[in-house]
Amino acid sequence: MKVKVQSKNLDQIVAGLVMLVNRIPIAAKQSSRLMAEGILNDSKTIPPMCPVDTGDLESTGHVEPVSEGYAVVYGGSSESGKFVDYAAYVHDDLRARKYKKPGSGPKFVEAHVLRRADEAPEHISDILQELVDDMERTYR
Amino acid sequence: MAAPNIPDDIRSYMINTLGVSLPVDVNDVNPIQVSDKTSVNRYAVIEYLGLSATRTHGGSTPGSDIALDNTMVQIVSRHRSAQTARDNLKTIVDALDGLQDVTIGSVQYTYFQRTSPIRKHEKAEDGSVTFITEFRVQARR
Repeated sequence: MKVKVQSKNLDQIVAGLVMLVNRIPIAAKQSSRLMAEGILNDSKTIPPMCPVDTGDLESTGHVEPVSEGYAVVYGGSSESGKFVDYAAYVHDDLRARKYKKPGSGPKFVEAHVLRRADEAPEHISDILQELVDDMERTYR
Repeated sequence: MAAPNIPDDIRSYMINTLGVSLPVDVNDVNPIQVSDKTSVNRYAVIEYLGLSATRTHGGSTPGSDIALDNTMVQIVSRHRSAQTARDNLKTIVDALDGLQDVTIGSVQYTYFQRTSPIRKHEKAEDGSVTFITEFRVQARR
């Protein structure tokens, strides 16, 4: 038995889906960058914040592209020109100690990643809905 | 029901079930004391922030709406021998990673999931070496 399905606007539907498929990876990458920038900002403004002694470690904080999207990175060349090779040590050292900057402490990136991960599904859902709405507006 | 003492429970599990013979500190690592050589070789279980509890509807008293406590713990292993420090930690990781629905004390733990590799954290002046790893842990109220 043969079945033939016809749609007057099949071309538009296919074009809309193609647009959606093409734009999802771009939106995901942009979203990853925004998320990483937000986490970097949190790590400097919301406890636990990056500890500050000389300021070298804090000055190395930046967002950089990686194969999966974007990552928050501490360590490397600081603004003063010194090379910071102790970022992971400070980040992971959970022993009780007195930090100069109030609100600063270990896990100053990971804590914000975990907290923001709770919000991520809703954020991703909003982005996808925006793309679908855009597709419908364009190809209605 | 009161919040579980997760690092204390993990410490109990390490000592009573896994048979760890070295001291296990909770929420800090005992400093190395020059006069006491036994202060070096040890473990520590340290809880840290980042995850929020899973809540349900209602609850008239504070915390009574919490169904699941989610937390992060770091397991620390320090030893005079770097290889032993690493091996000791690996033994704990092998026993805990993927452990599900186990009751410690009176608390039911739904899962233990390792979230980071076993890695060297520090080499102290006395030559002892510290290895660390982290777990995500969930407990039922």
